[in-house]
Amino acid sequence: MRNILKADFRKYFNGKLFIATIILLVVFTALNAVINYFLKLNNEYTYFINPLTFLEKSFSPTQDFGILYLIFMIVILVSDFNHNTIRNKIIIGYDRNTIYLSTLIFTLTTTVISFLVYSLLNFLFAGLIFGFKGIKAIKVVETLLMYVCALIFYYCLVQLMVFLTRSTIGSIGIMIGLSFLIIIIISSVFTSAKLNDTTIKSLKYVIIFIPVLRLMIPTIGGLLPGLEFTGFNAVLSIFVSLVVSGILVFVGLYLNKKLDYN
Amino acid sequence: MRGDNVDYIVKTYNLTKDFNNFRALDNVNITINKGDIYGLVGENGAGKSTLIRLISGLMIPTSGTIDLQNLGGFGSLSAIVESPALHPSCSAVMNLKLQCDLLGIKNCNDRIEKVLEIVGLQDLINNNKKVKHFSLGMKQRLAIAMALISNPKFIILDEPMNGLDPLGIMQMRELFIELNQNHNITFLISSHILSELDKVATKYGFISRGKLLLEISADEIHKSNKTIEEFYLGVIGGIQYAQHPKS
Repeated sequence: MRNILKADFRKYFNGKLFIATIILLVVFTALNAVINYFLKLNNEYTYFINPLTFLEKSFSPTQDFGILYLIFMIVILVSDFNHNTIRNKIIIGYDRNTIYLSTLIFTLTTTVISFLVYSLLNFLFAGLIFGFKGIKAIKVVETLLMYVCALIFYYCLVQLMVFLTRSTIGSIGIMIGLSFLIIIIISSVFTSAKLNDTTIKSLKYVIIFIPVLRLMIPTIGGLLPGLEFTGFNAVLSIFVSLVVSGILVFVGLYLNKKLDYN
Repeated sequence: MRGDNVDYIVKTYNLTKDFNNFRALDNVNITINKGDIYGLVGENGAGKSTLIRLISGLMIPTSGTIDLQNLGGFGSLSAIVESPALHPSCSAVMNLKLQCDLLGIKNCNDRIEKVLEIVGLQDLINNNKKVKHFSLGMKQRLAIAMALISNPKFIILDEPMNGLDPLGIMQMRELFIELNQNHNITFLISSHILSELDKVATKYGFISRGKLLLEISADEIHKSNKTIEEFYLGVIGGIQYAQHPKS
């Protein structure tokens, strides 16, 4: 597995998409900082914005960096199928589980590092503009862990889609389509439902048990300031994300063993 | 019986592959011995590529088994199936380095130089030209260099002559013979170009409609005083060939 990872990372660091990811990361961080600065200057929406909302927003797969990173990662993963280079791994003698797991480790490592850097930079710049008043370190760690775990779930799903469809357009279409579908459904529910305490409590559990929803919270959470996750709910959210990710990995391993490589 | 011939490098037992309701391969039993250049011959859709993919591990058989126990361990098998599996945005040397990474070979620069020399691509050692700008012949040779870097005992080639010009075909042929004779590498080669296969193969397997019709040594074919084309048509065409010998 170490050898496959070495090859995958060598290819990634020598590729154009790695440089493009860094450029995107810098550009979107700078852009967010400039927008925040002007919002502060004009005193618009500032009652609503704090550095933590920017930390959360950074993980969204349907906004700025997130959506482009998703496309880049799918292009990288599918290229192994498009160029048939995944065959080299099988022919050499690696078993399919090792190939799937090493690809997953590569995907999750690069993704988590990229999003951590992006979110923390956004948090830092937003904090410098709006101030860190009232933000506790434990809350930051809690939020980060919840979002990283939801991101892990999301990219486990991305890899599964890539291995099943082996198509760039197919995987991008499914993942972006799914993300926007969730936003549309949740937004409809929010606008049609009576937002009393029971509704919000129910929504909390829906978000806990469907980790991909967490990544859409920048939209959902913005509408509902009461929809916060702390203490037990945060721990449960992290736990559920990891368990559901584990289930996805097992599904991926099972299907990958059954599929033919042409 | 399994293990009855220790000289074999690959043996298949009743190998069958179904795609939905279509049987692509039907109870195929082949034996490839060490040192063979095994020519796999058959019409389009006969099941050659399916058989090659099954032996390479790319496909899962519906039933039957493949015995590779005499092959050795990790990295003993190399295969070029259909098109060369290369990273088009990388140079030749980078492609070979990635293959070394996969194989766990450290300090592979000398080895890279050696395999590039074997396939006649030594000019690419200090050249950063990307693989996507290579000709098909160069890609084929680079793919063989990648296959050689692990010092394999067995190389599988699916239609390696496809798309090559006459000079490229001749160079490939000479390379296969050189690797077989001087590096003791066993080959399984599928090809439509029977006259080219005739110049390298030591054993043939004739396959049609998913069934292995005959396994025969090249010597036996030569003793029959028939050309490989005549023999092939005799086996594959059977009655039709006997009725229309000029067709």
